[in-house]
Amino acid sequence: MMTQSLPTPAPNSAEQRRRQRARNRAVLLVLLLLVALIYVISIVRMGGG
Amino acid sequence: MSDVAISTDAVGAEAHSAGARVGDFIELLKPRVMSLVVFSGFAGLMVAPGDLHPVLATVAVLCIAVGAGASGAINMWYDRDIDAIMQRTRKRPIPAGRVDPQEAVSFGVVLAIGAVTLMALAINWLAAGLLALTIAFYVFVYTMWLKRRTPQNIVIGGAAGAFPPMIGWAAVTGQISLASIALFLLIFMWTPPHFWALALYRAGDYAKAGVPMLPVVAGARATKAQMLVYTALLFPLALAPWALGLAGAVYAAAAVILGLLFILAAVRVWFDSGERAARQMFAFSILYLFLLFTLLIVDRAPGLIGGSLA
Repeated sequence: MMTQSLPTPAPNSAEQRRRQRARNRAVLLVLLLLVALIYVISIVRMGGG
Repeated sequence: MSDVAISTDAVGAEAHSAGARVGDFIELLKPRVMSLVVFSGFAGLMVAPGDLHPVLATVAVLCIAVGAGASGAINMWYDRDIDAIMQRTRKRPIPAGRVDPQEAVSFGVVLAIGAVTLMALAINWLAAGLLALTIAFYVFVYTMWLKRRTPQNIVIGGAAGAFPPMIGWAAVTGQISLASIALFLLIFMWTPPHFWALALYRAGDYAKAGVPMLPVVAGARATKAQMLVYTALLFPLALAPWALGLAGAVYAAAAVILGLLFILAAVRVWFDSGERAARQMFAFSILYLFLLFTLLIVDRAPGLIGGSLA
């Protein structure tokens, strides 16, 4: 098994920051949808659905 | 881990420095495979006797979709070494270096846990248990155990793709019944000829990656004979939903026609020494399953062909 040294990450480029922002927004959107989904599920379940 | 995997990781780490796009994570979920899984799960949910609130039905389908996607992501993580070798898979996010392997597996595991937990809390424990079993079967039994060891990999591993209608059925009824087992068997028997049609014209790719698919190990002739056997066995199985009272005459007629066409496709593959018939059979196999499950849904829908408005 050979050891492998990872390349040093490049300094934050505009492209890197853009992709990071896009990922953060996607995670935020998923979390908000999950909160809304759990809220709706709770309402339905409590209503005997 | 093989040398190939090490070099793939190195390439991945280098290209990863710019970070993955959101689309790369979506690609990890294997959206095309997911669509068929979701559709068959939805069909199981629709044809099951009983009622499920539309919101809960949507949640059940969402959980099946996310669970299938999670399995795909974990599969791509584990298979990154052979994916880098095969023409068909070398542009996937991990071998192409767009997603870090550790991020991919974490993504898959988190989604798998999330999907099973949500299914258990929102729907029922049986549906959640079946979803967990499906994910575990695909990851541990098919991907890690069978895929690289036996030409029967997709015969046994095909069970993972056959569970979704049972999950949909269990979501509505909270039970496993003969009818849901029939739906399971239908997909289980459909999977080998579907995958072997693909493997016939990708045999070189699989051989290069060391995956013992049937055409690589036993040759094209033996594979084509097996495909004929499985399509013949599938024919009566496709009529099981009608025999069990799950579907009406329209479904039965369509199942006969589609079954004969599927057998005809297998016969054409048998006599074709090239790739054309295999490619056509692969495409038709997808259409076959989509049409069969569509008819199953339509036949049960209230006010449509065979369904009742009561």
